[in-house]
Amino acid sequence: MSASLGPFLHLPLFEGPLDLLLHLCRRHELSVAELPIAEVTEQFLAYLEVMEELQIEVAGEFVEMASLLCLLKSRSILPRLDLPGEDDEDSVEGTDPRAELVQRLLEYRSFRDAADELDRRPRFGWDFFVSSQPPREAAGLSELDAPLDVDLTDLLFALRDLLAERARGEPVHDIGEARLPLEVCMREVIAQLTDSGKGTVQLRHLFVGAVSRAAVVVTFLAILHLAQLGHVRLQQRRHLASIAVMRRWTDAPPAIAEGADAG
Amino acid sequence: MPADGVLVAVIEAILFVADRPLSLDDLRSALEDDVSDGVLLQALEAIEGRHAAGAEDGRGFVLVRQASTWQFRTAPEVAPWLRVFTGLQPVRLSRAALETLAVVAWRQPCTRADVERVRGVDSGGILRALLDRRIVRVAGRRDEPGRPNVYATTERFLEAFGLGSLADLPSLREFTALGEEDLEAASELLGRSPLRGQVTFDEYAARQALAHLDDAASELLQDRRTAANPAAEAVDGENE
Repeated sequence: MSASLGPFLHLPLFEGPLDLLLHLCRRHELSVAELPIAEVTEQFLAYLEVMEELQIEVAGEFVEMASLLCLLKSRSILPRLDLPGEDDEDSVEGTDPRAELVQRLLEYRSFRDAADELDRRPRFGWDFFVSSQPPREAAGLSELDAPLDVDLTDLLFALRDLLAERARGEPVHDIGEARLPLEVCMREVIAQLTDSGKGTVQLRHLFVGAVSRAAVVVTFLAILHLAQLGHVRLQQRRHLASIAVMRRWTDAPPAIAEGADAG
Repeated sequence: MPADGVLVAVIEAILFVADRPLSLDDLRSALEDDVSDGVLLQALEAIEGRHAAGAEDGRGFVLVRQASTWQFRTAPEVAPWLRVFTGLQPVRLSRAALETLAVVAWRQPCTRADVERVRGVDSGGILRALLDRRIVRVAGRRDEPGRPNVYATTERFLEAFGLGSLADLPSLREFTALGEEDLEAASELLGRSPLRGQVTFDEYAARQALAHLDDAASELLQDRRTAANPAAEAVDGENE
């Protein structure tokens, strides 16, 4: 028998001891709410034994549950002693020692059902698609939109997307190695922001001219550097929306000295 | 408010260009007018009806209504071609990840310990994977010993499952109210989604292994009962 199970041994058959208990109740048509503890314990131990025999890894949580079940079983079998000292304790715990376990099982089951419900829902990108209207901020950010400031993770995700996009694009024939200084890129970004009437440009639009991977990275650094110097602000209308670059100067664009990248 | 005849057209157009499911309040603010729920619902029903037949009627998209939001989506029948055209990578999740996500979604904000209390197993690795995929996020820390992180779902979660807001999630009580058989029947009916329908090798192997395990455990118990009480077994045998 173990031979036939050989290749499956690495598979997690149950998500945990609660999952196994629900499986037992379902298979043997036992009521979860009334949990017949003697039968459930016997079944649970048999499964553990077979799993061990088949060298299926049994996590510590299963063993813990097994000992809890044995404890509950012994309590249900042994006559209750009405000792004066233990009286209070017992009444606090309630009359049924199974109550807590049943409660946990029912709670786990409702979340498992919720997980099934999530799984049944049509999934975006597989079962359904929606109109891909460019997000609203493409038309420029208005002051009233009160955009969020961008955090580092969003920026890194944006860079990853840009690089991935570049990799998918048409191949660019590399003629020699052209050095692209940071300050040149910074001036280029400033020029684009100066030209835009609204003073805001979508992050991705600043990369239109960046044909190589190196150019994408240097342009990205240039934007970060300008943000650090306080010349631009990076904003998002909401989480996961595209990132906009906004100029912060009002009259003359900032001058970028030669060798600004050294600083 | 647009003239009566145009109202339906305006709402249809707004839904068409919207980049997320819209609620009645979204529509009201888009119309810049205090249109009553009744009027909006009537218009939405008219649009719904117009697209109801979907692909059967040569329509490429349908209006999908959820608990509190409406959205135009492509008809289910056309999905295979749209997958090719868009090249999107849908969010795929294991059983363990779905369970963990369910606890976060319905209990948010909640801690790792909250998740583990419900599931009864270590869930740290799965939570990290969900964080990496930006389906859940760290929403702060709880003011209790150890100041543990609390987790919540993200916009990407809503997008992946086509939810307008968390209000579109059914309440947990609705599940417990249903019997197991009802749920099984429901999942039979609803479970035709191709993403679920595809049985992977691992799933198939797991089902096979589970069947073997069930049999082995039953045999073991049977053997043991026979050994403990051979007489009862003999009587059973005679009856057959």
